[in-house]
Amino acid sequence: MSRESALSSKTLDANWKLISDSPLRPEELLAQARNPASGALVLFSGEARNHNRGRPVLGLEYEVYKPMAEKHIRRIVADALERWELNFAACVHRAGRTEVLESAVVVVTSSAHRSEAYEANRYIIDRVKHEVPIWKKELYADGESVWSENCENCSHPSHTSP
Amino acid sequence: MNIKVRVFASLKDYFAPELTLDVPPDSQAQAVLLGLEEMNPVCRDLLRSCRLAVNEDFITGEHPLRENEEVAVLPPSSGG
Repeated sequence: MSRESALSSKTLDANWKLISDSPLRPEELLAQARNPASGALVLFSGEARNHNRGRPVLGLEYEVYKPMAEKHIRRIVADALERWELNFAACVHRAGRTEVLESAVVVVTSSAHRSEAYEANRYIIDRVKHEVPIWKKELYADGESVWSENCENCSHPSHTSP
Repeated sequence: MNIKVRVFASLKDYFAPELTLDVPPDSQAQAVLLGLEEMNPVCRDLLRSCRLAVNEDFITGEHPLRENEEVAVLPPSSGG
């Protein structure tokens, strides 16, 4: 049995699309993460925001290398499940045109006590942002659209040691 | 030998999404970046910030290429 199937009862089953072409429904993930043994549930939603660098933004367009993105999201979630005592962890991400007030990414974690759920949630979103092949284009109100470079110059090791 | 190359996001402003590169026999994966840079020198900095993947896993520039292997060229991620 692979590591990921050993942990599968603590994450979304294989029927869930981790990369979604339609709007994410955070409340569905919240329902999945609820667990009688959990006293804490953390839900993070990365949202499409209506401005960037002082300019009005109409929406976002996400390009995703789907098979690779799904594989690496599964791995990151499995790493979090091994690292913290969690009852549940999952992450889903949007693909395609994403409107302001919609979720671009949702991470849920649940655990007996809050510190594990908080830490694991932050760990998952940080790794997903840096390691998973997903790219964001900002669609500005003036008609221009620009690929985001929001972490191109950061010092995360994924960019310095290919 | 021929290598299948897939490019994503900002690289598609300069290259077809899927293309075939002819590289010398026994090349390493970095030959793909050099081949793309030769086609489009203006992309030099962008290409140097990219990572490479084969079979949906990251590889280093030293990965030995095989005939008809598919190499994905991935600009820095900007998900979330």
